[in-house]
Amino acid sequence: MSLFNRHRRKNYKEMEDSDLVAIAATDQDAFGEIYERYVTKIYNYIFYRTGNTQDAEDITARVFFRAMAHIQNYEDKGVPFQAWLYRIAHNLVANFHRDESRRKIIPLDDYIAMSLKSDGPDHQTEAHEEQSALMSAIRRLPAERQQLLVLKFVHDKSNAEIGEIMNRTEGAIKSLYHRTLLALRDELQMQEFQSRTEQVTENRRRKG
Amino acid sequence: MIPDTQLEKLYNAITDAINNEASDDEINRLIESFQVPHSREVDSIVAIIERLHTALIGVQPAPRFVRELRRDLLATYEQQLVQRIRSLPARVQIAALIVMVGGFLMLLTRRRPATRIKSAAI
Repeated sequence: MSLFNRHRRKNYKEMEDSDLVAIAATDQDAFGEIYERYVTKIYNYIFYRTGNTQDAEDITARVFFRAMAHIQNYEDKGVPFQAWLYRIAHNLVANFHRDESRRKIIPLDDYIAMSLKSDGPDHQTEAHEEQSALMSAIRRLPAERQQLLVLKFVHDKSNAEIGEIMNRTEGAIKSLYHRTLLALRDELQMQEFQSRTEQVTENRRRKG
Repeated sequence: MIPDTQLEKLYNAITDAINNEASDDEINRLIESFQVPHSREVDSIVAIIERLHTALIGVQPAPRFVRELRRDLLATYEQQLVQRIRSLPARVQIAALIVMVGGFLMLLTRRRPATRIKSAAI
């Protein structure tokens, strides 16, 4: 009986990821603790890559089911466990976008609606346009750049941590971030130019 | 012309500062410390970093979703564990059974002398 009690008394909350992962294939509670630690992070990552709650929930669920099915094959090669989870999420989001591009749907409504809930109506229109422009500029970036931005701003990760997750050196992340900012600026300028051109055309049409 | 490596370092430092809620003065001092002259290019990138910081904020998944997913995962976990054991080769299953029975018998034989001593004392 004492054997079983000892097992139950494990303090999962204080365990390192590597120790939890080592027993998670046969210990349900250890897997439960891994889930608790990462569900919000993975959900956030997917939410910003998909732009709506429904897809974020669906893909988050798939990430954890896949992790559970393959956790016994996970090998600790010095890369943090969370990098493995993020890679599963990254692959599933990539599959999702491949399928979505076939359907030609780019949802951003949930994100914008949610982030503007607390603003007043006048401020809302302006902020809505700005957020919308920024988010669509982000969504036009290549997947790895979107991933970098989410990890940097939403998850507040350092370049070294991002490097571990994305399988790159810290220096490579630094320079990728620089290129991402430049691309984002160009994209926003392009959008602004296009919207001004459309406005001028619209005004001419009205006058004519 | 400012070298790219210098700008990379600057933008990374500014991002860290903005993510740590630094004030405008602190950011200006940071730019000065890199000896990068104020230019439209630097200003436009700083503005984008600020916009990203404001827009990309953490979101909480619905508690109900988190609870239900956990319940579903753990229910599937048990099924998978049983399936995994069933999918083992027969000889491994027999060996595991023998080890379990052996272990149980060992526990029993270890406990028996203690109960005998107790009954003797009574």
